Amino acid sequence: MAARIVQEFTKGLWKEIAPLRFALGICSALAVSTRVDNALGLGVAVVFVTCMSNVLISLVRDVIPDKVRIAVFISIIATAVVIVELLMQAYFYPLFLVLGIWIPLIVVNCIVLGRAEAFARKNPVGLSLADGLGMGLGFTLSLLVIASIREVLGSGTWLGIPVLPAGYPGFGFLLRPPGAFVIFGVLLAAMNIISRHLEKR
Amino acid sequence: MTLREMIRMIVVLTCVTGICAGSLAAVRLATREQIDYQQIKFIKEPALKKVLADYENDPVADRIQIETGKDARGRPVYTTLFPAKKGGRVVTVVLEASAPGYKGPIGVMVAIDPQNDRLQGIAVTTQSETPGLGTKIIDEPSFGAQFVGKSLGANFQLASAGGEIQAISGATVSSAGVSQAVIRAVGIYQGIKPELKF
Repeated sequence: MAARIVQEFTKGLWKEIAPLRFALGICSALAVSTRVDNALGLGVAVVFVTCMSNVLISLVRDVIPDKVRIAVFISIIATAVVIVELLMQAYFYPLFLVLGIWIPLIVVNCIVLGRAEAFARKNPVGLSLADGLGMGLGFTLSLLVIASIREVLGSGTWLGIPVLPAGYPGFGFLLRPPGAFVIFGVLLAAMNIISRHLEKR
Repeated sequence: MTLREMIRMIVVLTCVTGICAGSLAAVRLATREQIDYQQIKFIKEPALKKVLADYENDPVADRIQIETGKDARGRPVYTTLFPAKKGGRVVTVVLEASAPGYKGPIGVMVAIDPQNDRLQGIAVTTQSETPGLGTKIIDEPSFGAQFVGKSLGANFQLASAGGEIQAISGATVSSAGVSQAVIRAVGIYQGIKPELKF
């Protein structure tokens, strides 16, 4: 059982890391990844939502009639998202102002509903929590990698700390949406090359 | 679909949405005060800092809400006062009022010394005036400085209307907006002064 939990947790971090393997949830991922701190903020919010929705959906999985399951899932997910929004407003107001619309839009992040439909409704609570945690952290990880590249090369800082020499002119293209797509494409290619290399061995 | 199935779906959906709504209401209640505080803090504090010089408390946490009249539908209208304290005494009371400018309302924070009934300073919080012209009400410190030290009984109208405030040339309407906002703030303050115990 313990091995199974570890396996469900770690699959979300590499083998099935949602944004970089399946291009899931990239809308918000590309939008907020101009700075590492914003990426971290959205990542933490998504981890909370995937964990909470997976656990709750797994708890009620036996009493939900199949025909209304999507409505039930969305109610639970939307509740989790609004709780995150309220908590963020109460305790991390500047972050809330920056992330703005992307917080409520976690509701339609397909990773969350995807894990509910594909995993949590068929598996016990412990495994669902591990799955939600792994998938959420995988999303956060992808966001952090994209944001690190964009922030370091785009504005010469990482988490707001200057890391490149003071004369660095900045690379504004990377901070705009097209730059996000380019970085994302390069990362996808790199992931595929590394995976193929690992499989051959 | 049997009747049994249908009833089950209705019951399950009703319970789930009911529990969701209930828990959201609980979280909302639990965070409401903190959210109000954060909103006021992040939106009003920069303006508060401009009009307050020397204080030891958190004026946002110590804010007071006082009913200052009724709106058209008869609902009470509240004004928020921010008291700044030093050595346990209230040295300044700050309140905000707005008046129409050239393009939309101009919001002004007014700092009043409650012991001597004098203005300590003003700061524009919200405005949508013409950049470079109307915005001189912010960019020209000498305009706002005219209000500093004036007694609450002074005539805050523009000089052209018989008052003591010199308008900025080229920005008369915006200047008038600021002066009207100050007049409103002073009026509100004098109306509620008897209720305040400083």
